[in-house]
Amino acid sequence: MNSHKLIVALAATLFLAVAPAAADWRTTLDEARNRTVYFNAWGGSSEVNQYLRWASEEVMRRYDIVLKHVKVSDIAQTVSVILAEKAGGRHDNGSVDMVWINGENFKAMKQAGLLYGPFTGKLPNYRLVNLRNLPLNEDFTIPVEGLEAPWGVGQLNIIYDRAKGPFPGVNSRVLLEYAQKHVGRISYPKPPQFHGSSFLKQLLLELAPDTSPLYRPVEKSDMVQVTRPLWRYLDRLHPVAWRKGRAFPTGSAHMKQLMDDGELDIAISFNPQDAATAARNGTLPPTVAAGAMEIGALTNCHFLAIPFNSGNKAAAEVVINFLLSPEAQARKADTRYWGDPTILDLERLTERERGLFDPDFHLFAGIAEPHPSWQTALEKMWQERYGH
Amino acid sequence: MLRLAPYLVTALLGVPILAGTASLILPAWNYFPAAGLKEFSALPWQLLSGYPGIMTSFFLTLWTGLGATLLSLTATLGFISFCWQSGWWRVARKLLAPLLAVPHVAFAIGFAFLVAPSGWLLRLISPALTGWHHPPNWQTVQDPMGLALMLAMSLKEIPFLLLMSMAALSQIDVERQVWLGRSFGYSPHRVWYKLLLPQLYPSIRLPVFAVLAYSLCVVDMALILGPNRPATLAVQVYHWFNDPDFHWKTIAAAGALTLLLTTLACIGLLVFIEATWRKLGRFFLVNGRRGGKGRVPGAITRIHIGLTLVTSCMVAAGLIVWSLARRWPFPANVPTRWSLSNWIREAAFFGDPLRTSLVIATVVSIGALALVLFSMEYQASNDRRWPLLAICLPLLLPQLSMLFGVRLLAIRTGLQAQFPLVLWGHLLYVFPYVYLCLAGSYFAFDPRYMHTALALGRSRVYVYFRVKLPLLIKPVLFSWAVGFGVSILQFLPTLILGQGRYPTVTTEAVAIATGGNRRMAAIYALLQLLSSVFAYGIALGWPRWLAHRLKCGESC
Repeated sequence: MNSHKLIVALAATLFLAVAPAAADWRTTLDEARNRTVYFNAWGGSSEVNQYLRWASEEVMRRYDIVLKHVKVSDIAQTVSVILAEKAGGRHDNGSVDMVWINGENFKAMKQAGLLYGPFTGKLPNYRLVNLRNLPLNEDFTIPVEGLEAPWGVGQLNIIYDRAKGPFPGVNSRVLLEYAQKHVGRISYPKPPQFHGSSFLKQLLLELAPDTSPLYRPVEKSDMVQVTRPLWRYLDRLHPVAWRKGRAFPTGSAHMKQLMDDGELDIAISFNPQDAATAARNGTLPPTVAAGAMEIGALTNCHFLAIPFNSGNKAAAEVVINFLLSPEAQARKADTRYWGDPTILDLERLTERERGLFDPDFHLFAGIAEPHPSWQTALEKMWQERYGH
Repeated sequence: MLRLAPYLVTALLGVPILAGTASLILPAWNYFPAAGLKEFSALPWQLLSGYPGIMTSFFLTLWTGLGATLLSLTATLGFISFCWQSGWWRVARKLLAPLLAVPHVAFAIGFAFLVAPSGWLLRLISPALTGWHHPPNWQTVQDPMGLALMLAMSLKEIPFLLLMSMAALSQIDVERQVWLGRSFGYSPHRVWYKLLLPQLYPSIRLPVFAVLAYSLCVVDMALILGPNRPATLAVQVYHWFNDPDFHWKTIAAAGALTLLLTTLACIGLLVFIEATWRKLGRFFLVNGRRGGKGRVPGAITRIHIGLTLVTSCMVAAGLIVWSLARRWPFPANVPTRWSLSNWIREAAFFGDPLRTSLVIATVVSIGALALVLFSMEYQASNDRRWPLLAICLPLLLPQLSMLFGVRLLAIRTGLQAQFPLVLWGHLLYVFPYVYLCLAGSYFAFDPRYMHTALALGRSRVYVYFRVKLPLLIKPVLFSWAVGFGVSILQFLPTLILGQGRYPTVTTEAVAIATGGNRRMAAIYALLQLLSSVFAYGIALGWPRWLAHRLKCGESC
């Protein structure tokens, strides 16, 4: 019922937006000229940094916009700064023009009223977005409502080394058996780190006899009952895990480093092409490959948003529209550069545009994110059971 | 003129400290209007004390912080006592500058790579000696006791304390006292123990407190080397501050206040131990025992310092090799595939950040030094010391909350100028370090030099610049170099107060380090090192050059 209303509302917005769109967009392009856009985004990946350097050159060439990547170690710090600006009454000319966010940070920004928009309907390239197959109207079940534009797709996958023998279609049982045979070579990032919490959700979606409670707020069901199989599983996994479960990697990057060092046989990633990119640039052995869990890969998207107090909203919109363009998306999906899958619907592209994309790449079968209250609950319970 | 000093320092440092403290105390009592919390309550404290594993975190903090401080202090004092002016001393002296310039995060990354089960040490002997083709499942880093963290922190702090001691020793007539002591039949290390260390310690007391505060509040090194089941309190606080859910910030504030009080209590403990030792230890100082050769403690000290130097050099070497590696799998001794491509690709982009780093560090370190000299001369002429706590406070408050408070203040007052704000933010952290490093030697300066020169009819200003400063040149330059290095390493002040407009090698380095790519992290760590190593070079080389020129002037 609710989702029906949402679709109708969205369709209406889109329809209303289309008619005067062309003229409006020209005004936006004019306004955007000679502006500087400060884009706060995680700076931990040299592939992403490199990609954004290319994007900066392009938007300068095409639109006379200076795009500056502000490399942050954790986007939550940026969210805090924008919050400080709001609390301090700085309602325009804020320090940030664009942010790369999803999930909890989006939820926090939306709740605190820190986002500008809805704006995505205005972007000409937004109509190319793959709303058919990707969960783009919700970000971790929080309705997006045009406040952020999709940029890429994340799918929980397991990177393994083909040279170390086949790693069959993974499920929790296979993983446990592998760990028991190869003691100390399996682990996962420590929750509440994003990848760690996601791994817990992925396991629970498989182990819970009935997944329907997971899509409702946690208060509405017997939390202890629903999560019992997960804890029973982890109680068996930890003794045969890396460091006997007394320490955990800090995140996906750490897992990949440990895999490269030969300490772990798997790494958990949210980018289905991570393995291919890492094999190509030498950060992992050339024989690595990625596989999703048998029940389907936990799938979510990452987004671009504009803070409420940006002084360069038009320019930010132009940049975001460029980043959604087939050309920019194709380069982003190319494992020579970044390898982040596109959010565009290839069927809506022209023949030439489609040719930019690798025809052999397909996303894993997906499985939707549980209600966000489960993530918080799982993190809390994990901390109580294993965190100390 | 000098009378302005206290007002200037209060204005420059006091305002942000107040803003920072307020932005800590209010949320700790559940007052945080930005997140819609407007009623005071003790809820954050209840949540903090009920957090699973919080007591373990707390004791881990105490254990690693105090342990690292005492370890580095004993190693430093031992080294001075046993190796003064020996061959060891000269080697250590040469290596000090580059070792000090290694940034903490880089040191942690390099150290982890050295001692991890898949680390360089095991790679060098595998599989030849161990027969291993896979790394063992040992917990040598992130161990539950925090030993790796404690050890790495002490290794990193020994060069700092050694440098401070060398600077302070330039104000003590060591040679003649050693000569005197030896002529009474005391062995050299006994002379140090009974005669010289009691004079030295007051001069390095403040740097020791700085080491203690750093070790208790360290986040960056602890994230890499420290335990995480649970982590130390500082790391917990850091995670809470970074949680997207704003409500965690109140618990973070309560945790940060706990950390602040803990640090103050630990400093109190050191003061208490020192006072007790002065009373009770006097017996040992005057009991007249000449002492033996001290072979065993001497050997232990030499091994300890030797290991410190070797480890630190291997850490740096590991970073250099990684920056040139394409593939380096276990158990290869060196990369199986080398590549210059990382350097070549980044070379086009690190020029600007490097320049920004150097400009900021130069301006701030010189400004801070001037301010420190200004306020110290004021105190020296009044013969009244400022409370130390006020000077140290910026080092004791968690950076994130303090800068959040400063930023809020800047927004409220409509202060838009970002570059001066960045400089100011750096000054907040550079000033205390320069102050701590110089205070001991400065206040130990024998005022009779000044009196004599003044009696000869010269003006105060002339005497200050021609007599006092030249005589203090070593410690002054040391503390300037430390200030320069501290400025180079500032991450959050540059990012938050500069609103991301001024990328430096450190903002790049920290951002890239979160991605865990050791090759890239190594490149930016080496750039950080290069940026500050030349300041230390100047600090060590200039006084020698001056001395050389003076000697030459007399003899030629």
